[in-house]
Amino acid sequence: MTDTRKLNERLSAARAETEARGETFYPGPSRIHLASFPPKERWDDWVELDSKAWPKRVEKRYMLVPTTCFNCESACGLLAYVDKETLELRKFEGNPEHPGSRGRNCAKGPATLNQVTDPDRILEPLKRVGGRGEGKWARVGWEEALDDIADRIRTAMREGRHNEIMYHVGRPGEDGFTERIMAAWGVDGHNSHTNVCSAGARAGYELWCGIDRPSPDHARAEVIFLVSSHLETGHYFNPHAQRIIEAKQRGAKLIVLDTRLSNTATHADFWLAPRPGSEAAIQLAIASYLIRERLYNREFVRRWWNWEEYLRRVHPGLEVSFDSFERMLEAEYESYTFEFAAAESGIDADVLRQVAETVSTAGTRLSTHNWRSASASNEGGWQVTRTMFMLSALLGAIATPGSTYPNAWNKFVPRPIRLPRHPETWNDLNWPIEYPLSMYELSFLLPHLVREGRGRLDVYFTRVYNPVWTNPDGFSWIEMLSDEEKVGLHVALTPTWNETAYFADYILPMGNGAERHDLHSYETHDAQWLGFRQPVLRTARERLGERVGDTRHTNPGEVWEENEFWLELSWRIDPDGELGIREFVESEERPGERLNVDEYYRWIFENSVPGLPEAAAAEGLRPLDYMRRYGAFEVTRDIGPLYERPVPDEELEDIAETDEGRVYTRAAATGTPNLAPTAAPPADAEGRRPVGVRIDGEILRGFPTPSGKLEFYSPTLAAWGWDDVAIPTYIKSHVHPQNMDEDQMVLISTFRLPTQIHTRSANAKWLDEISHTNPLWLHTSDASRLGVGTGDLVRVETEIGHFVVKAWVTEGIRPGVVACSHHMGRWKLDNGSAEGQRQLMATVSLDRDDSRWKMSRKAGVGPFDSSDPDTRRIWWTDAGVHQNMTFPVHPDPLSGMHCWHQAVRVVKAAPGDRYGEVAVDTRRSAEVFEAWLAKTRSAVDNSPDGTRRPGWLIRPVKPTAAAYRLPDAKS
Amino acid sequence: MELMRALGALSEPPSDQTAELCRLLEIERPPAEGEYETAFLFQLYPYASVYLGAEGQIGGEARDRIAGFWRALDLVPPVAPDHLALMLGLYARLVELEESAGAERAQRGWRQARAAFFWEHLASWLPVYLIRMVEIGGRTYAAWAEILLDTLRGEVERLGPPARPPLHLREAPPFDDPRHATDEAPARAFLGQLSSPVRTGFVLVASDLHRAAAELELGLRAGERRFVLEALLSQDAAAALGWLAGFAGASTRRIERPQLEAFEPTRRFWIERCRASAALLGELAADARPASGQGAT
Repeated sequence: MTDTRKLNERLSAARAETEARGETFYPGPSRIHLASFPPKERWDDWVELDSKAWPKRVEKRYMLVPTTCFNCESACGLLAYVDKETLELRKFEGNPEHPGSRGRNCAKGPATLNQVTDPDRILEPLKRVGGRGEGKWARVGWEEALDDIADRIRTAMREGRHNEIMYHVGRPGEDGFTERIMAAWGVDGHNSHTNVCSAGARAGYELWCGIDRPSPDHARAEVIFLVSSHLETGHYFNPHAQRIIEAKQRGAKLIVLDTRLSNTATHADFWLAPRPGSEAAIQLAIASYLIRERLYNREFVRRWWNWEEYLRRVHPGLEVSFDSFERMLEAEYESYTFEFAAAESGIDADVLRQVAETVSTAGTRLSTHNWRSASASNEGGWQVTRTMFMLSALLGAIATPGSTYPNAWNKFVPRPIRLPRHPETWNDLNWPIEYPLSMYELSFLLPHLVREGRGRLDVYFTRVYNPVWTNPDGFSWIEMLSDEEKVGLHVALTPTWNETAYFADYILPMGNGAERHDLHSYETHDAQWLGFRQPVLRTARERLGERVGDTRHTNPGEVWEENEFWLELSWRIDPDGELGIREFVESEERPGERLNVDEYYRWIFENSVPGLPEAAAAEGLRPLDYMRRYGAFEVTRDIGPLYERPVPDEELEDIAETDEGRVYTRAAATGTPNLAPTAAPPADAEGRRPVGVRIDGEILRGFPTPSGKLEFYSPTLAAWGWDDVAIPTYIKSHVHPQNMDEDQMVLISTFRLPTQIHTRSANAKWLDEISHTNPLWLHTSDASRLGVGTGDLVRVETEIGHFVVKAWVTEGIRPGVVACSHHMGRWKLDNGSAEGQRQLMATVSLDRDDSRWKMSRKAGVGPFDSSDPDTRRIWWTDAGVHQNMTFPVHPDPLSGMHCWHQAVRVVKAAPGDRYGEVAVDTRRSAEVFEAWLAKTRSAVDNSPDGTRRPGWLIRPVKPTAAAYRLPDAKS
Repeated sequence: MELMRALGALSEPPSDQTAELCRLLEIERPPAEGEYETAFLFQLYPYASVYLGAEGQIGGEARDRIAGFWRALDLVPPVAPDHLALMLGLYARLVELEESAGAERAQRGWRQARAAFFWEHLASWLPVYLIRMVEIGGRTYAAWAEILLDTLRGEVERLGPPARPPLHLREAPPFDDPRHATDEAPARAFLGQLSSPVRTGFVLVASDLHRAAAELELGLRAGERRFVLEALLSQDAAAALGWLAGFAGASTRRIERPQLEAFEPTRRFWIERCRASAALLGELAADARPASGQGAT
């Protein structure tokens, strides 16, 4: 008989001893601990057989270095395999130590290798030597470029032209570094792409809870409700998709509203294909059902909605009691019946009822999510997330397991070594006065605002951003960028050629995901984690004992990383400290010298990340070495409903309280190392800061809104001229049938291809081979009416022009609606220069006749000779069609979000029409801009307090309070 | 309960850690080359559904039931929840959860889950699986099977007998008499049932069929078990069925050994199934014999 007790004790002791050394007791592909990754103790020397040597068994030795993917926003963990013999990158796999992606990646992660070895990438700084857009470039040294740019910026600052300096960022891929650089410069020049992306969604979330992003806990949900054209197939494809599938395996129900049969929709229990723009009507019908049938969480609503404020402001004659509120609530939404929603959406009322019943079974385990899609496509789209969040708020499904959390509670942005001051300027080019409530900058209006003479740019950085291609109305961008009076110096920071870079003065090559430092944290589950992107070859060399100066020494060619670039540029702008910039980029360890990235991150990891020093010490490492070794750290998890946490007594000093229970204190705020963005509710009249809210006699932390509660009724909207939409309502879209002609159809242009990501992945050959075209989805009934079949050319006519594309006839889209992915249609100019991504850029000519532009496709893609033999194997010729150029700007008058949906006419191509042709009249696009501008409610007419914008709303690089004052009010 | 977890790890393909685990478990030597493959890939597949499923194959309702247990614990079932390594890993975790539970009520709950998993999903098939592994697993895996069997017996002592037999066994379909078959392809169904331990009560593996072919002097056609069985039956049905009846009888005696007495009432189920199979196969063999005087030509 075996002595099982003895064996058990011996095994337990052996395991404890092994794990104390930081090693894995059950290594290798094993089901015991899902350890199907190289065990971490072998990351310095991992052996695999060389696949290229097959059938011989040749061992390759690798060093595995973690980093994070730079292709989409998820920042999934990657493990780079560095060949120890050659110190070259061989492949990328998932990083099992990353809490968000947990070792799993989508196709875009491993394709980072393609981007590193891309034969067309830009390897040296280039300076324009011909006219803008002529395609004539000369190599230039970093020193010369830095000095030239720094000198120009310094001059502008000395002359008080701070607003002529602008940094325009695409997907940041980092949390706040460059924002702080802009603040250190004292400029209000941070300009993001948010208004062509997520501003609509942000508005809906922020007005409810003071935090502008959702963090759905899909994995633990019982019912998952998505308004999505790409949510789980593009943006957050991997971390969210894997958790949705986990929930489905548990038996959770998935509801997807998507006019098009997306990848997400194919997994749904309920796929609703509504008429575009009707999503809020559907959600309000569900809300109305929950209210009518008393299926909502009444206790949660009573405790956490600002219903008292609603009653006092909207129904001053009524008794302020929850009974009164419930009566009013039912009355407010009684007209949103299933029949009403059916008429708006075209979906059967019985189906909507079934969906509502399913939602009602979720309890507090309802996870809801919308990020672009309908909220980014429709006038009033911000009400899509506002009405969606209302479902969560009705069920009390806020920050409970399986619900939706405000993202700032599931995100960690560590405090850096220095925080700069608030700039003293207000840049009207980013924050025009007509849009006081916009969520982030009106970036896509820039050419129109400059054309109107509202300002000019002396130094304009585009950073991994391609507005000519990505933004609507690209020809207006070309007009602006081509005009040196409007844009004095355009510096394109980019790892690869793009359509905007053609119109730059400098092109500065920046690193890909394996060639740069960044810190990144995203909402993937109820936890806070920090991902560390790092230049992989630099770390590998340092592990081997080399001392590396800066990242250029280990990156390909003269490719640099942005952080070192910004630090160096800042240093050169203010060499003697005269401008007050130098102090933010000076070393603490080596006074008089510039801060370097090692010191920057070392300080953060040692001082601002709770638990990291201890975790590192447990393995005998310093915090920076720990992050270089593992690439990620989970700071905390199971955060739960922060709003329910009592405010400690020491924070309650000389408190004041409003009728609705908002509590203010004189106690100083306790410092937090986490700078995740949240709103900043205002102080009371006597300067006390808001600290909590009294609920049933107890002072709880609440939400970062002015009331401290969930703002069902937004006093901010009411005060700033939008009282008609101060509660969640349905706004009829600009593509509502009543706003369209009978022969028009809705064009959905926002959906993604799961294996591409905007302009960022056209240099990835594996992805290009998978996805290289964007036909127009056309329902069979519409195809029949038009007399076209799959592959036939059609002309799509917008308000300002047209494009010619191939049809793809399918049942996977609603009749009367067409769709075309925006991930295709890349182009390079037929101007004799070879610049461009030859794997996925068509060659085009641009012809201009006054305001009329025409793009003609001269050649498609084909095989070519390069350092990569695979480029001889390119078999595809298509590169898609660039549709965004034909879209006029549609700024939502409240959120500022560009409303992407287009009312179009689809007709058979005319005899002279050619595939890929694009025609636009920019004079017409200016008229459309003016028409949408007329819908706004300006701060001049509606500001309740003489400011340009409610101070409590989130805003990148917040200026000083004085800069918030309206020009007249200032004087 | 690291012992369970380590034993589970040994049912995985050998890794660098295997030798160390063998040493810690006092197994004489790590597996020789090919020993793992012979034991687990060609003979005794380490998946519960093979032994508990009506089809004798990986997956199906038996696997779903095991996945259901994961779900009941609010865990996401893995792709193959019935793999022995995972099952022993989960059991080890349940033991740890019980031992670390602070409140008595929570502890009771975990004990209940542990006992349910043990009797429903481990003790329902592992004893008959392991006694076969002791026979044919080679030195390393025979020793491994002995340790696991002893470990399971120790658990029976701790947990006590179940209130009633496991659902897998209560709902197991019988070994149908092919003479009363209504299937469209009765021969195929019969072959399938012969490969399903939970129907027949015996665990018939590839090496058994090789032995049968040798003893009966029949041609052995290489292939999976149904294919080999079909070849044997097509050559001499009476002899093959007679051999199978004898195998069922031997299996009965194997399970009747005192070594498995602890595992009542599951042991009773397997003995009864074996006996019934032996009787049925004996009858079928008799039916298949040619009438007196008419020898095979």
